[in-house]
Amino acid sequence: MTPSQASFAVGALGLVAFLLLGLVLLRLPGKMAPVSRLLLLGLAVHALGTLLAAGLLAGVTYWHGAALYWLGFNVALFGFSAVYKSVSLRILTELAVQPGGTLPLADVVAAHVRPCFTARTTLLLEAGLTREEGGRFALTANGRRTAARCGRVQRCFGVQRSGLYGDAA
Amino acid sequence: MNFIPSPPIAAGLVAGLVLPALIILLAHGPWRVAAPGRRFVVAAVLMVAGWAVALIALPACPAEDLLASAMILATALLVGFTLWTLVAWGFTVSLLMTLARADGPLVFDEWVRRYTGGKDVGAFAHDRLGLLLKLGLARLEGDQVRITPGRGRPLARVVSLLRGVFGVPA
Repeated sequence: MTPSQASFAVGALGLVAFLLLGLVLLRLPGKMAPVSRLLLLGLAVHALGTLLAAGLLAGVTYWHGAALYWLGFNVALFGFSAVYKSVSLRILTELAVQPGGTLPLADVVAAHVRPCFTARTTLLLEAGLTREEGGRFALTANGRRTAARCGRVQRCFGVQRSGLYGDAA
Repeated sequence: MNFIPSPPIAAGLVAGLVLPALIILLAHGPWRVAAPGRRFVVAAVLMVAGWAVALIALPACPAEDLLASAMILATALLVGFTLWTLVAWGFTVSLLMTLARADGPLVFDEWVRRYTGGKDVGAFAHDRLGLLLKLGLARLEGDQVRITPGRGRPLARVVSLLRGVFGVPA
């Protein structure tokens, strides 16, 4: 086995370890967001795998295994994020379990669309970026600073107005 | 352990790092591509083309190096696309920016209206469904939404399976 093939093997083993540990970690109770858990686990598994490979396999290359590992990690994270957060996929799976596969549009709005707004506004409240007083929402000082930072990043990347109703896609 | 990247792998790393710079370049001035989606696609095409030219210019490379380089490029595209969707279309960030643009505090429905450019939650539902309808995963029949048996149901099964694997509540 060449050093680059050994490196691919190290990357593949690391990826399998990440996937198995990730499935366990996602099921454990805790406050940390699932994506943050997976990111930290991904870094930890990669660091450990690299240290072990460096100690056990003389002359093994780093980049071949790292390329395989991080591609697999990102594909897994992308897939997880899609099924975890996508409103469209939630609507689709809800339709699939209905008799005849149909739902009134009003039910879709009530069950999925309004809750997806309230989930995001709750997230902003819990993060201390907004506050609610008498049913009215406003930015906190922290929220204004965060919005200013986001605005700078968006302007740098030429985004005038983000979101589904922002710059024409 | 050898941390020095071979020339093809270095080409993949450089191409990946160039992607955000290309997006910024295409966001301003004479090369501006106005639509965010098209801007990312143009930047990605330029990145892949530059990478391919660099590989052609290199002397014969081992297949393992080419494979690793392509994997690095694919990773850069995936990470770049994920970050770009957050910057250009991120839902939570866009709600925050909508509130930042408002003159004062907003009630919930007004916040939604400002985000959607004057539409209500029902119109937003139509727009979210637009993706499912455009891809042929569902269709509108009057005021009913129906999943399509050919495309929608198989994808719904895959999504449900992945939810089970990842432990995401249904």
